[in-house]
Amino acid sequence: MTFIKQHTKARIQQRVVTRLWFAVTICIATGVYAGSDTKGVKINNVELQKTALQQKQAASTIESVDINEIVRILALSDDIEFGEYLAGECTACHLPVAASDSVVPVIHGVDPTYLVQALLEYRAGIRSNVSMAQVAKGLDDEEVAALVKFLTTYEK
Amino acid sequence: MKTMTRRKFNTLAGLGAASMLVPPALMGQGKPRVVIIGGGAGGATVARYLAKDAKGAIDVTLIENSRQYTTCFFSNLYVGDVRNFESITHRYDTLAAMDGLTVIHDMATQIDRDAKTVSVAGGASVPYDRLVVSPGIDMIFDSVPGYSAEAADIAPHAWQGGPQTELLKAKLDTLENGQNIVMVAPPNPYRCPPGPYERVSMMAHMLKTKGFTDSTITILDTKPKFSKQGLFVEGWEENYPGMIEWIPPEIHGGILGVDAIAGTVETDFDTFEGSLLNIIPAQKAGVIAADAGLADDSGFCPIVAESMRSTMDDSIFVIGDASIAGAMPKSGYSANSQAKVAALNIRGDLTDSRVFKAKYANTCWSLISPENGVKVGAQYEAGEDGTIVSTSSFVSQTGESAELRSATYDESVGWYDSITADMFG
Repeated sequence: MTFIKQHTKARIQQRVVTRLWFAVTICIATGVYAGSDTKGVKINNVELQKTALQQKQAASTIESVDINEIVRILALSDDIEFGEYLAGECTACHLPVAASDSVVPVIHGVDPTYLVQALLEYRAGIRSNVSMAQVAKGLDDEEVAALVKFLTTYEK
Repeated sequence: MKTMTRRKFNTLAGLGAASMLVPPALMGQGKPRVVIIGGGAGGATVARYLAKDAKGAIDVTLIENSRQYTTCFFSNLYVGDVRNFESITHRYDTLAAMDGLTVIHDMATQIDRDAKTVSVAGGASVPYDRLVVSPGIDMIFDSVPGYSAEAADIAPHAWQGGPQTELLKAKLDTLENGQNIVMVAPPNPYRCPPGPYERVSMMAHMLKTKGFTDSTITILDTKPKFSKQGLFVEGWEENYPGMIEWIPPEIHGGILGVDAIAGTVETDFDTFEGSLLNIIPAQKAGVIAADAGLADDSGFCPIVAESMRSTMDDSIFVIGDASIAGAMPKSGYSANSQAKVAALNIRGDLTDSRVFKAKYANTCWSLISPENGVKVGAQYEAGEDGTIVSTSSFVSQTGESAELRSATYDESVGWYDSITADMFG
């Protein structure tokens, strides 16, 4: 049983907020960058709408999931081998390394608290995607912990 | 010579039986060997996951006759000019370079279950400790009277990726305004339930793009209803009004025969004429599976829900379209999902690795018109009745916004890149 000190909790919370700020900034920057057509990608209104949607989702997560819940879940399992098996469900859609301008984000090697938060938000319907809602609801808390432990330790 | 006592015989018999349970590697026979028949969505995934996760402890041999694999999934997008042929075709170089994995480009012709060997056309005999049979489907040509493998060169089914896909596309591209398409859609169970209707959508898109306002598409279905029907009908009415007609058995009264050369399909109700006939017959497991006694009367192969192990042979696993996978539809996504469970269980059999409870999933995306995608999906597990059952599901809804439909399509593009990398490396 892990005892998380108060100042550690605050540090984790700050890291989450910082990461979200980063994510929002990247989304905005991507929207601008994509508009410059440097990748030869066809740009239309739909691309810009999607970026706005991502921004809205990122912004809405700031006051969503309780940080204590994230910490509690992460402590439930260190079973990376089990997590690797569970990740087999993810790799149908999530490429371990971004190779294209896919709308499906990279989840390998990503911050664990962010991953847990995202899954909890899909469970709660704060993030909306029926596929991910099903995935998130189909994992119990211990499975979330094992899966996230594997994903975050993944090296290409 | 000492006489054989009953006690000694029993001891020897017991040792013999016990030796079946000992992983071959511990018996001094070298590494355990896995042979995989079929390098498609299922077989390629098993090969990759075994090689990746066994870390050299297992010798894996993948037998696939073709040197490239054109996915049936997304082939409709090629038909609709949304993708090109190369973008849906994959090669085996990355797999072949994996440690512990050998790719044999030859046709697997026969399984000897007693000797535990697979024969290939070139003459070799490949031994196995565990065999994965992932041959996909074969057509029951005469399920549509008058149809045959020869007729398929004129009236393609294009239900196996590759030359048939290109043939269908070539015929579609040579149509002129006023020329019609007739499709015969298959009875359940078949590969890719929404597939025929996505194909019709893409063909209609091609006709519309060319301004062929006098051309129609008629679907003569062998089923009273089909997957995502409400979504397709909504999409057809919005995007291709008046162009598509779907006729179920209760209207046409039964399909009496096809004449590929004349370009006609005769039903009890009427005879339908088309410059392009797309005849998709009933299907069965790839013949090598049935020839080996792995199929039942349904023509497909029963498996143990928790592992994908054949119920006919403990040393054999059947995955993908050839298997009877309960509630899971026959799809590339399902094959990839089942392959991972099979690989896990094979490693558990042959090494001392852990085996976890089977989890399966599937999602079928369909493109109705450019940027207008829909999906249906579910999660599955081994049910109490011994079949694979659905534990949750979702489906797109009619009336969804263009934004959501576009996001659904984009998601499928991301999925395609990821799953083909998951299969072929």
